[in-house]
Amino acid sequence: MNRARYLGRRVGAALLTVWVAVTFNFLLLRLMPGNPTNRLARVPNGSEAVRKELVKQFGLDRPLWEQYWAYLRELLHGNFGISFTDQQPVSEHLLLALRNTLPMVALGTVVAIVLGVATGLLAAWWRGHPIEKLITFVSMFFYSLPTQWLGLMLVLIVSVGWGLLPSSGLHDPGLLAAKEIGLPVSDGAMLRDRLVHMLLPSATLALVLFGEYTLLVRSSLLETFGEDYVLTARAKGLRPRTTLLRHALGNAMLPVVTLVALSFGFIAGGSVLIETVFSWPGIGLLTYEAIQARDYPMIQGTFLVITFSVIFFNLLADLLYARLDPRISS
Amino acid sequence: MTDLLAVEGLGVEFDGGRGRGLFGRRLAGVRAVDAVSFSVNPGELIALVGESGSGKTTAIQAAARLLQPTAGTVRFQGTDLHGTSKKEMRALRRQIQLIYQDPYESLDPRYRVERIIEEPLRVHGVGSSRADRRELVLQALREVGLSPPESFLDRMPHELSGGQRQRVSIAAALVLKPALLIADEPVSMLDVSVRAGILDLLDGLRRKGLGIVMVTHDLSTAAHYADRIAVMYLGRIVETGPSRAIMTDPQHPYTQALLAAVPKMQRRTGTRALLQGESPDASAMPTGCRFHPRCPIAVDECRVVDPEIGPTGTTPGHQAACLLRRRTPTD
Amino acid sequence: MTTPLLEIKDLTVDFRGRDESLKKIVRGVSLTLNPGERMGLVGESGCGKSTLQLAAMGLLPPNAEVSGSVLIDGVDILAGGEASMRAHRGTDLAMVFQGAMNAFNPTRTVGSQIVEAMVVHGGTSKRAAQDRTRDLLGLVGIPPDRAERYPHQFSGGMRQRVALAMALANHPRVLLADEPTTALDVIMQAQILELLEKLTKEFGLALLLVTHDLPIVVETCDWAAVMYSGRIVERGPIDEIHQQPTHPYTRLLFATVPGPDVDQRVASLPGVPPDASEEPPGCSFAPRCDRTIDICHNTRPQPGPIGPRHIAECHVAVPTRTRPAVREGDSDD
Repeated sequence: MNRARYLGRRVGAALLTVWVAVTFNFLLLRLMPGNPTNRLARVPNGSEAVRKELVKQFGLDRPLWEQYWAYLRELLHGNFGISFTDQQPVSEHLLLALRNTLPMVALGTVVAIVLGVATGLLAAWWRGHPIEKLITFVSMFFYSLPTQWLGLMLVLIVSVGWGLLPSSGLHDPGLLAAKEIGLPVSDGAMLRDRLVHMLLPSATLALVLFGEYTLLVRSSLLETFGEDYVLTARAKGLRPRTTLLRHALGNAMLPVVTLVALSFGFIAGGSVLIETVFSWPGIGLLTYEAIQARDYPMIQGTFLVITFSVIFFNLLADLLYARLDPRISS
Repeated sequence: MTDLLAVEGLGVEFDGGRGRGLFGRRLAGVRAVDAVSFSVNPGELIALVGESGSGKTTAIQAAARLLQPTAGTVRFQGTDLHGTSKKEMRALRRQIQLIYQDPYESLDPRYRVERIIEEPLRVHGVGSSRADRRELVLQALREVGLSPPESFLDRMPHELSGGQRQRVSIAAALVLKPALLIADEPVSMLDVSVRAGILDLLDGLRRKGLGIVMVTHDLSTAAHYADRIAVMYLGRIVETGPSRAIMTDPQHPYTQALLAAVPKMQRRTGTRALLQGESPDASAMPTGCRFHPRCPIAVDECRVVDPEIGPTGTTPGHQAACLLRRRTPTD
Repeated sequence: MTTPLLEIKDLTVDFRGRDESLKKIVRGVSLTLNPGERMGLVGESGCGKSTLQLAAMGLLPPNAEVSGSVLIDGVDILAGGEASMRAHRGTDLAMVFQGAMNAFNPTRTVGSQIVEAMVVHGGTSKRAAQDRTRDLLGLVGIPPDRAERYPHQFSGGMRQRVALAMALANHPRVLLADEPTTALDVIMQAQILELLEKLTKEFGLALLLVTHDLPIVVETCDWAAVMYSGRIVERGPIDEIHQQPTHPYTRLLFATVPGPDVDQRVASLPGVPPDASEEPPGCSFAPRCDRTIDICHNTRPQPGPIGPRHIAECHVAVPTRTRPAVREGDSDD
């Protein structure tokens, strides 16, 4: 199979998955008993006439396939429906939440990956040495901590104890208030304030995530060290370090790519635990609140965002794999 | 008399593609085994010999109904194996046992030897009590030459040498008292020094009436232990006959090349007369005789005509699939 | 007496375990090899033959403790430590491994890996190395344009040829081959052996071939060394070893090979090879030997001469009274 065909197949498979997810999302609500207007019973003055009018307005009296087309059309235009809770477009909520979530979670994830790969590499290099034991212990330690507990501890120590970083929220309330009443607050100051607020939640995420990478990179490298081509490279007269960088690392990174893609895919999902602990109005918190309020359009919206993101990054991983490993596309 | 196992015109084709993911294409429409026929009688050892990719392992897997053949029949004691119900097949499984190449992988490392040999008994509901089954296990251990048998019951596979492991896997096959044993490269993973011990064991079992099909890539081993040899090339039996005839009077050019390539116990003068290249992938099957692109004696006809297997040489039962090596009727 | 090309002197390898225990693998092995000579090193698995080769290359893991010397033209290459050892790897001593399938990094073209073998030792431009790569592939019978291909695009036999080309990149003088044909079919095996013979003849390359397959040694080698439990128990010219094996172990090994006569019985060795760590007071083969005398069980035999360049470690084959007083130098005439 040549490369173009491989790429075509992967992209096709990704598109198909998106379609299945979207359709599933559509059917989910239609298959549930009743329809969205049932809730009107609890609304004062929600007469039968009002209900019928709403059914007509929402197009719920039309055949299913017609509704399906309308749904697809609207989705393509970025219309995710209206939130039950505040009658605002879901897409606006999602955009706002994503704007908050993406930088924070992305920072945490990237730091975790860099830290994890570096420590994993060191641990493999120093196999059998106390350095390896120390690294393995530390990464296992953080990996096994409950996220929300670690977050709270960091707040207690860094914010409450040392008073170094803010403990929660996106911005300093004082700064927001100042801006509100029209005081001159520069964009730079706002950005700096946001960054400062981002540090603790991102650090929490990085700390609980990196251990997984350390362990994977270490075991994957150790496995590669046992391969004949690594021995062959040394038999050619290569330095151990050159052997590691040129022959072991590349191959050892293949399984890591999958994990990275998975982590990136879930960035858009935010982190319910961290966003709750730090009152971070991101996608995780949004999902959590939507579930609490049974805000179906919102739940569907977050579901679709996460699905798209995971599918996209998996596709990216597949394409990257094909570049890294010639065995795959031929 | 009906044969113990009679394989007629066996064909296995992998349609590949779907379900095999990225690597499916390689197998697409590959005919791994083509028109293979052989039979085994009680007390007989038949060797299927061939290089990797010759289809020898696929052939025995289809013969044991571990694979669905696309053509041909397999009769065991007269019963069509692929025509029986699953329930009947379960009973027949007791009669047909397999042993594999790698005794390091075929034994579950977590189980004691006793449990490994006892398991088939439990699966087939043999033996009414634990003591009953233990007696059968001890008997099987004795049969494969692990003595004293009691001392092996509690051992774990990692405490055994390669040869001992292979004996344990043979014991696990024998404990059901099968009529047919199928051995896939039973000694190729073992040290040279213990190979003969395992093969002598199989030979002893054969003398007691067991029918054995052995798959091997080693022609000289086959010649010493098998009654008859079938040489396979690209899915087909190209030559078959009594071991002695194959070794002393090989007819098919491929068999001759195989024999020439086997290292001899003598100092060689001059260079080896070698077959060039390697056997093609079964997905790129040559036209006519499948051996003609590498054949040193091929003529034009070989490019077009796919030869049937037929009598050759001077020994009864000696057959080859070669246009140029047909026995011409003398009478 | 001329200096041999390769001389291994009293090489001993121990592995230190996690619990600081020592596992003895190779016990005082000595052998010599001259340009163009081929020596087969045979023995059962676990006898230390592969470890011996890796030790000579300095490629054993850090927990291995190596003593003794490996001399190339009289210069001990083990003496200078890892950095100096590295300069000898690929240039003086090259090695091909059993896993022909995995000798190449799967993510890079075979050509780039052969080029790398040359460039790493300096003094060669990338351009010149690429040209030589094409020549090398031609030498081992691979079309030179295949240099741009990836390892998985070659069959096992082809890959072993390419691995040989890579080993030859820096004009090595000694080639260590560890079961180079074990994973291959007989016809492929014969092709590779033919190629090895050709290379030793054309370039005066010395070959130390580790194999479990005695007929290969008889067919392709000038010398044979038989290893048992970490020691070379017999070594000498292949014709002598083959026609008059002296050590009972050598004799039994030859008896395990199926001969051309299909009616002739094939022998198997009773028992299992001992752990070299256990070092009995007597001969380590005594428990499996069929012709022991009293002394075998309590005194370790020393190497003694059978012929001019043929020695064996056996009380029965080399009675004590014929032993020379001095041990060194008995292998060369």
